[in-house]
Amino acid sequence: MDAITLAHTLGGAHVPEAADVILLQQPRREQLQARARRFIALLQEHGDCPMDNGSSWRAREDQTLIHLANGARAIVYHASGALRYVSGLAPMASPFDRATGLDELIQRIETRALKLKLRDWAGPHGDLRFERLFRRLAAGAHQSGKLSEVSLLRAIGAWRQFIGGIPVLGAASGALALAGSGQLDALHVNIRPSNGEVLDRAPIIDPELGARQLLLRLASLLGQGHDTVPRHAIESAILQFGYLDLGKRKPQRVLAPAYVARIVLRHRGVRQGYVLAVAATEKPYLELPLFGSEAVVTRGRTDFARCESTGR
Amino acid sequence: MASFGVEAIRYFNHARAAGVDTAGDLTYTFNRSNGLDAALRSAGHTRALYWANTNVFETDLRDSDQGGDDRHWADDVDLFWIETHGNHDRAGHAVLLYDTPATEWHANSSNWQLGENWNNEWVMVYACDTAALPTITGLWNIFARMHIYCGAWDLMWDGITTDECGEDVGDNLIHGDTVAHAWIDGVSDWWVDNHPVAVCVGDAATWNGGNIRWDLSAINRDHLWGHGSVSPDLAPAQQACLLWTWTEG
Repeated sequence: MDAITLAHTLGGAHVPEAADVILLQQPRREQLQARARRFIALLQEHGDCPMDNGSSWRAREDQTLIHLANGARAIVYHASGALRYVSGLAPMASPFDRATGLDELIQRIETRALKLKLRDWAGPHGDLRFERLFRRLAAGAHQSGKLSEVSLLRAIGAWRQFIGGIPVLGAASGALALAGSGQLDALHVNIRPSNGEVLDRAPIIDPELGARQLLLRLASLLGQGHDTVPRHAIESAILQFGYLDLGKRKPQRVLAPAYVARIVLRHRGVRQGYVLAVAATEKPYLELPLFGSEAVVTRGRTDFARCESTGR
Repeated sequence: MASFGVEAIRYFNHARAAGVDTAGDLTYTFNRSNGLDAALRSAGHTRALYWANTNVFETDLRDSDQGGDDRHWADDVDLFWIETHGNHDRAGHAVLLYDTPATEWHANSSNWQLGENWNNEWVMVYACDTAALPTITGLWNIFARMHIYCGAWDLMWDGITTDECGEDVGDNLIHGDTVAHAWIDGVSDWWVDNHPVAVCVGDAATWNGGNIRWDLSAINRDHLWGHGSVSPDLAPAQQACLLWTWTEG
């Protein structure tokens, strides 16, 4: 695959000549706690979270964990302001009726999201669009070979934040899980606070140039030094343009345009899906390293039989 | 509290050079394995082993009776996490790729027997395709009193947006989620469509003539030690069914 082919996978997606670099707010601890209180209050207002005036708040360095009644909990992540609610419902409890169709699941999920005002978290400068339905299922097999019916346990809807028509790529901006009884099982809001302030207006590099940089990265993972990857090795590839959210545990100063490729390779004996990202601007606003951290323990096996004694 | 082991392989240059596979290097491997490690240790659980790259051997999972050394590694911890490239064979056995032949380049779950007389309850494998749904019963032999195998029925993604999966799994475990849910929720970002699946064995009462009593299953009952209930071990003679739960989008 070459850069032209990868760039074509953008399809009809609009890539502007220039895009805003959005400044993000860096909330203080008390602002994050207020955000968490608003989140919990909204859930309680609609009966989706147990009323509990005696909830316990435990702050760690990276997150505040709020224990609620009936085993429920909420979390606010300090680096991003991302929010999470988990009901504590047993995972196999409250399945859906087997006949529930996909359209009905989506309708139920969207209705609940509307009731919970999920779109409000995108703020006045953004939009939140339904992106995808996931389902959690379960089944079994007897030792005789007989298979059980498939149970539908949860329906999970995923939403994507858009700013100025540009998607914020990364983990779903919003995710809502419903049980068969209609109970809210989980809600994630991965939307960073912003008042829409623009740091810069940046020219966008040509998609082919972005694709070439991505293929160089991919080739380096394969131990090659050029920007093409054998066509037979590519099972699928899709290039997207958007802002990139670096994840709920990472501080991020701006939302900056990026090209993100999702590429599936088929090797001799294994397959692998890669998510690769490069800046879509000439001036880099975010660090997008190809490799992450090193292992926390790097000694060889011959150095110590067990790392238990020195690894902590 | 629980003991746990972590093994993670980022580089596969030796496997490529030896002509074993053309598999590429991974990128955010250690963010995930370090994240799990940090979350579990923060709650007082004990890291018994952490091996990386060419220090990860397939014999760590292979049964001690079949030429392996699992009794000192994977089967000597409550929770064993490994990240590498994966696949499955026609019989549904999980296949894992290593970057050193110690003693094989690949592991095959046909010679795993976990939980036996030793220790292991849970294995988590962040690798693609190790538990394909049509042949998932091919994993049955690994359950020698082990409780749950957490793997993937299709792709698992590596990259800058799935780097927090390990810490998410670890946080879920120490916040009291079941092991199966901690895996499925933790590795899912509801975007790139990871394909997690959790597999356990059940007895005749759980199978219940095909009307499965999910409430009795390890999938529904098992929590990390110290964070909730754990179902009793099921010896092979007590096992009547294989149960699994997965997400698809």
